[in-house]
Amino acid sequence: MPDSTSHFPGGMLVLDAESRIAAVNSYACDLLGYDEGDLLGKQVNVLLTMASQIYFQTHLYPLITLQKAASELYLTLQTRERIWIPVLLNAAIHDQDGEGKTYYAFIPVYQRRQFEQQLINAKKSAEDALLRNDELRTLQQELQSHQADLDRQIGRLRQRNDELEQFSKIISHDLQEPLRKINLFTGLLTREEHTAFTSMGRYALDGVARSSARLRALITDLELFFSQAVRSPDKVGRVDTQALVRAVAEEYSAPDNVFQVAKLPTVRGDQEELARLFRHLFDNAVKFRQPDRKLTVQITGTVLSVNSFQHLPNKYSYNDYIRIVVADDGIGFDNRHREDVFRIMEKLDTRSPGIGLGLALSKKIVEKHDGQISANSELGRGTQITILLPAA
Amino acid sequence: MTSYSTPLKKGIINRYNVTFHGQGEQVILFAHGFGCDQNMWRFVAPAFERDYRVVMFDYIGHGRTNPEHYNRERYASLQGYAQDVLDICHALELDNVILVGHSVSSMIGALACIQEPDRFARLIMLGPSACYINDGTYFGGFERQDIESLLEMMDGNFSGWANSLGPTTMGNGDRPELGQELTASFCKTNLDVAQQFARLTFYGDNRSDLPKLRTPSLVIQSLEDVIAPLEVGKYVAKNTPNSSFRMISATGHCPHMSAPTETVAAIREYLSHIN
Repeated sequence: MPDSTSHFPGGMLVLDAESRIAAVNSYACDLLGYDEGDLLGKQVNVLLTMASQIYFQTHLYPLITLQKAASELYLTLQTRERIWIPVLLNAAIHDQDGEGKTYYAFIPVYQRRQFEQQLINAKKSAEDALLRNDELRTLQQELQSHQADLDRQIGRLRQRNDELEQFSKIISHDLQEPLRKINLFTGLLTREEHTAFTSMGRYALDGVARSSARLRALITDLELFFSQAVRSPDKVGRVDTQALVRAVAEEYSAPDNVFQVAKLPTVRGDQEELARLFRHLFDNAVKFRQPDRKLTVQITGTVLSVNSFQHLPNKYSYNDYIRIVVADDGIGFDNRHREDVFRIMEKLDTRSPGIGLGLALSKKIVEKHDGQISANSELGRGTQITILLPAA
Repeated sequence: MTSYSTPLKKGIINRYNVTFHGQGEQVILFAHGFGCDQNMWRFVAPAFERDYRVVMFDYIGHGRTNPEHYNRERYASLQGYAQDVLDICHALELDNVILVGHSVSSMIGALACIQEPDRFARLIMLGPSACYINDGTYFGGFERQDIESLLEMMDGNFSGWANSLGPTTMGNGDRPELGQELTASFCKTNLDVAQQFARLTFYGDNRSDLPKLRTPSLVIQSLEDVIAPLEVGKYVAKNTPNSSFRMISATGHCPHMSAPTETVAAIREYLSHIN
């Protein structure tokens, strides 16, 4: 630097566009324990503590580049002997010969920094105390309102549960009785002499017989859906999904049904229920296969972090979940129905057997495990069922 | 052109200060790193406006977002930030997205891609690190004390941070030439938010997430980057399936600011291989 700057009682530093030292004055050299020649062309990082390097690279450099100037920045420099020097600096960018150079002026602030640190600490502890108080008050209010909500919801759920129980009784008993009679009388009628009916009569009788058989199947399925016993907590444990899925896949494997099971992590759940879940899914895959070619079902799994709060807004607790994807190359369905398929009695293909209970039951099992299930499908390409279950 | 008039879309746009530029069809979404805001993309983003729909945003507590939306529980983990990226994509119906993340946003982007692999076409990581702290034979570049000192230093820089000890209005009108409003807003971050983000960033360890990433990705590595040194970038590329590695001759942790032309070229070249 020109001679006049050597008498300045403050540090002066010029960096080129790549943050290399282009010039430095003698005050800075003396302060940092270097000769000018040691520093020219070096990265500015040699003068900075590790923390200052992070701060410079992530915040100061972008800030100065965007603003072309910055002032009252606090940074810690490091001497050749690795002694830390707190400094206050101003920066400005000026173009020189087509290259943007950054000019820094700085002074050490040993004492000021100490006073400031004390102020900051005092302010912090005061703020922390206030914040804790505020937070506690807010939490208390939230808790009270949640308790009231919870109580109301428990009431409502009890009522719904009673209704469902009655409904289940009606299905399993009250509805079965008249149906049994219809079946009985239809049976009697079909055993009549063929000539006892007109052709219209015979046609109508067949219709009654078919419809009552279908009604019976529906009622059996409905009964199954509503009577699914609530999982007893002692049956929940670590489930080796890989072994479980392999075993279930075995049941459905055939020369033209291929199941490829990848490495699957362990989940927390009820072994039997989960086996039932995969039976439903594989059953569907086989049922909705392409009629004229081999079926391939791929089962893969990954560990994910997922917010376990699914219903309360603004609540977060990230926990490990296992995502299992069951992908088939069957006939698929229009993806507009990706939500509908999980509804009970929802059947996209009216020719298929059953009442479309499989995915509704699957959803029930997954939700009992505090998990999530979703579907993604493309007509003619196949269906992907994605399940999230809590990791063991 | 999609309309952004629904309340949900408007809400997300305001919440994350989402900006749109360019005429292209495919979305390229830029996510800023710790220490700045979406302004840091201003030297590279325009280069993509002709061929892409350029979308940028600020994380809560950064840039022009309202710090009142900051939720301590949500941002207690990088997952909360990944959820920001996903929430933006969901609300604005962005699909087949090319996600470009700088610094910690590389890992945030990776978490978002792992969460919803079908939503993202490519992930471009600029100066990524899966773990900043040295651990046994793993070299991250930093020790815990370095990060403690960083947090302390941030405390000292009250002028740079909104809502802190220093006077909130500066200049007292005697320096009108600065255009105070505009210049003061660059890289402004709420101090509490920034310190918490620094803790997440530098104490974080995402090494076990890398093998789960299926989205094809690119690591852009510059020279002499003390935040994410060469071996750290190589570690990310080596442990991530479908990942490419690209060295550029820019120096420092912000090649998108110090060498925008070279950074643009590296991104373009990688994207030119898509079909």
